[in-house]
Amino acid sequence: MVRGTVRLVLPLLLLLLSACARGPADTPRALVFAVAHAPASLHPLLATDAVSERINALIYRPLVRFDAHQAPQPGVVRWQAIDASHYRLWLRPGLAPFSDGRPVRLADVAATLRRARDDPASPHAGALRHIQRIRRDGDHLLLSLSRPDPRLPARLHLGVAPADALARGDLARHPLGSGAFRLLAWQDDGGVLLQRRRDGLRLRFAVVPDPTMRALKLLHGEAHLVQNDLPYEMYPVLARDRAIRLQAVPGTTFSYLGFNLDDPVTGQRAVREAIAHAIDRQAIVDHLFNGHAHPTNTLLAPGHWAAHPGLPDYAYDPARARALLAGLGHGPGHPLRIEYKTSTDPFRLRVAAVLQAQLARVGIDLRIRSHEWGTFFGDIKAGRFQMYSLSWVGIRSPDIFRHVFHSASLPPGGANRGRYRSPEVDRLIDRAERLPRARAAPLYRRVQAIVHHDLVYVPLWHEDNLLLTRGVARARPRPDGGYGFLEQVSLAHE
Amino acid sequence: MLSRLGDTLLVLFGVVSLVFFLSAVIPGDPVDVMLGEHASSADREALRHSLGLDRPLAARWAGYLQALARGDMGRSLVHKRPVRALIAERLPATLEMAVAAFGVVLLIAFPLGLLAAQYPGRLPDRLAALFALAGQSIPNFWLGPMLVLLFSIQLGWLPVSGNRAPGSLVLPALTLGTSMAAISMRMLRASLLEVAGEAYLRTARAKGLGPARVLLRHALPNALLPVITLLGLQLGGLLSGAVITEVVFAWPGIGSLLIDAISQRDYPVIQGVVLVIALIYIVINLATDLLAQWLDPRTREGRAA
Repeated sequence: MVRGTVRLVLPLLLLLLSACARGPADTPRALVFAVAHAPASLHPLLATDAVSERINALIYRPLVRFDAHQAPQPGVVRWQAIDASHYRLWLRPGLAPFSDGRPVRLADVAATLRRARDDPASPHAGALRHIQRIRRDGDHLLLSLSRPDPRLPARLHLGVAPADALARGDLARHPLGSGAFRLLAWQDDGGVLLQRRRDGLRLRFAVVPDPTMRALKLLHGEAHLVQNDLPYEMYPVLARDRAIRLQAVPGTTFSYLGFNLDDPVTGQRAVREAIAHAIDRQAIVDHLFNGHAHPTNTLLAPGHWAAHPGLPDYAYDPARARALLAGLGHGPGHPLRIEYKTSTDPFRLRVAAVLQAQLARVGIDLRIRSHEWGTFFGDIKAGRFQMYSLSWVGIRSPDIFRHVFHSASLPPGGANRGRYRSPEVDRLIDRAERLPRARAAPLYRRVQAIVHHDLVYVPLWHEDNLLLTRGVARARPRPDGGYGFLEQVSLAHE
Repeated sequence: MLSRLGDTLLVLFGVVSLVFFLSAVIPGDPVDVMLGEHASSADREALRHSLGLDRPLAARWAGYLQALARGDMGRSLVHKRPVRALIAERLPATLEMAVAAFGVVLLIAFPLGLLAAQYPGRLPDRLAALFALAGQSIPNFWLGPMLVLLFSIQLGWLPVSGNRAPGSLVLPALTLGTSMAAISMRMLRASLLEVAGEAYLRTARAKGLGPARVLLRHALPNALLPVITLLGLQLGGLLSGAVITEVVFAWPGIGSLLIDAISQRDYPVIQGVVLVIALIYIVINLATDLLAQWLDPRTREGRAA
């Protein structure tokens, strides 16, 4: 029996020990960026998750890029508007070739546009459907639209891939772009190993779903970069390590409290105003975000060309909130009950608990219901809620106003989750979309003023982008959370 | 044996059907994941049609079963790749961790269980009981980071997570194996104490055999049966993907694949992974039963009386 036990246990022991002497780790020159999720697809036109889009931006050059004010700038192409329905696109001179050495051609641009418009799985299809004809005309492409669109260039933020690769359909696993990086290999954790084309620097996106482990990997030196998605109390702890550098920039991620306007309770503006006055946003920013967020009144980040710069605050004023509720017949003996839906994310649950306490002070009994993400989001889209909180990430275009506030955008064909209906807002959005930027901006500001007055949502804050680096030089986070800074970074000891 | 095979197929059919219908009724829509919210209703319907999601549920179910009979688990809606390939990529990592964790279970449970049974009520038994209590009470999502703090951050001996660096298997295996070892150890101790008063042990002692020999040669083989059944179930649990441990240690097994698929409403992957997990459980259970019958002929069918 003893011999049998030894025979059983010994190989297992050896297996355990063998694990200590296995497999090559990353080469010293590889930068490791720990991310929470694996990229789902490296197809430049079909990816929808944030990590994929950010990695794709490293692999593919876009037709059109955005400047700091979110205005479109020439990328792979420059454009000329013949009129609002006809555009010419030229390749810019001196373009980097695709990573297989072939030059970028007009045929690749045309194929990219067609695939983005026609593929049923393309998230860009709706925005490009009005491109009726794409035709080569000498040294440029001629785009003919079925309706005037003075802001077409802003819709052309699409990564360019070779026409034959787009036709083959395997770009999701075998990306081929003209960007600063190329794919070397997929990793078995679902991450990717990239190589910077100009100097061969290797960059590995390591998938580490648990936030504590991401922080520990950085502390231990197994990761060089971590961006966002850590509990806020961890940042100062990590920054105490002299090898780790914390950088913060104001971000474009916008958080808000949403309401179901079809609900008899939250459909009342006075209720929404009471909630707006009952919430101490600054206290939440100071204590839960450690100051890494900025209370805001509008969805677009400050500095955006269409952002309203002067919307009034719904100041923290519990007395005013109580008075509004008293006017509706609610008070200490008759609290107003509201159901609040959120995800199971621990940080969002902490925010919910603080909101619950703040609203309780003015006589609102907030019932928190937290659900797994898919269920939560499904409920919000189906209108099964009174009040919820979510964030908008990476907003660049005022097209978001159609998407969120236009009465034609009720789910599932849009994100007007609160079921807001305002003929005036609809008219303003419809008009603004037919105008060039300078003339559209005042209309969009009017839209923001109306929805702010109507309290379609209670605006909360814009969250900072926080980048932790270890042994990395020239890394600087970007407001949109993109990974573009990786084009310049280097290992600090080099 | 034929009847077992029939039962197995019936269980698999039930699991596949249950998961298929549950996936279809849970809130959330894979089209949302693929297109985002910016797509129009027409685009959403076009994609739904191209994926076959607009067909009646019964027709989809029948189609899924037919494909499954051909060994086709379908294609991931998110990764756009065959589910079989995704599972094949992840299964080796799960097997690796399961075998290592099982090794930890055996290495801890057997010595401690034997020691506790040899000295019931005395210090070794109490220490083993304390370990069992701690092992069963401490959740893996806490134990894992604590082990990392000690062995990786403080001592610098082992990597924090992932499966690339040398030694990366040790901490996940310890984390996963500790709680299971605690249960197995208690079971072994109880089982050994149960047979301690049996006549054949008294006979062995009367023959002049030493306590260690009595314990290992005569008590242990007779006490093993319930322990083997438990170990079989534990191995099934380990092989089917220890979800929390895989997530904590960024271990790329089928457990983390399942978690991602659920959050992304990637139905074919959910169905495929659950099917594989069910298969693993069935095979392990069958193997455990056969092993038990081999060890104790009384448990064979028709001979129990």
